[in-house]
Amino acid sequence: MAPNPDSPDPAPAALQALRQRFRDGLPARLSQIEQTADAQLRLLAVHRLAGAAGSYGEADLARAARHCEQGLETQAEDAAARLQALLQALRRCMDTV
Amino acid sequence: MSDDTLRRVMCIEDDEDIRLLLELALRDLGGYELLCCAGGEEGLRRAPEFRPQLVLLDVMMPGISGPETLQALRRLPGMAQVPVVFLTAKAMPAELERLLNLGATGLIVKPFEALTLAQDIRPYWEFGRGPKP
Repeated sequence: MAPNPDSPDPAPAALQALRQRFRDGLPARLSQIEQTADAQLRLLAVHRLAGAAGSYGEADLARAARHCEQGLETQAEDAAARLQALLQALRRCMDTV
Repeated sequence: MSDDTLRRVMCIEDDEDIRLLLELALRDLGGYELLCCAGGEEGLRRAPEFRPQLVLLDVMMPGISGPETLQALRRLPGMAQVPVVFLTAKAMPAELERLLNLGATGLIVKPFEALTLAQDIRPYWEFGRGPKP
């Protein structure tokens, strides 16, 4: 079916609504990452965030999450610092909402 | 329904925000009949009835992982040849090669582009079908 030039494309609006939903869920993601004492659960939450943030256009947050994920996976010396950087990036992203 | 056209796509992805994006990209924009499952267990349970023609499979999930799900999917009736594409947030070449060696048809690295995903998955399905007789 040919697109109707008089109708606005619904895709950007639907995508924008999902982006807002993702942003609304950031505090819950932050709590999960910050509060869990289980290293595997934290790694999984960071991994999920890395994938979702990038797909929703939050490039800086995705980069911080991926850097943190790699640090947690490899038990890098600076893993704790990477985690703090991710939490800061998350808060910054929440502040811009 | 003829299997000459890609219609039924199954996604197995544990992150709800990503599942919603997949629904928008593949069902709402792409027009596919889409089944989204939240984990490997659900996907394995529902695949036989849904009979997907293509599976998008997250790699890192709680419970049964993506690679374990792929192995189990292959043992289900009618699923041995169905193209399975891993969705992964890992972009390290060695990791991508490892995933392909597990028998996946291809890889889509997150972040993916929601507005073009419906078209982006078609080559994997066509490749997975092999040459026409």
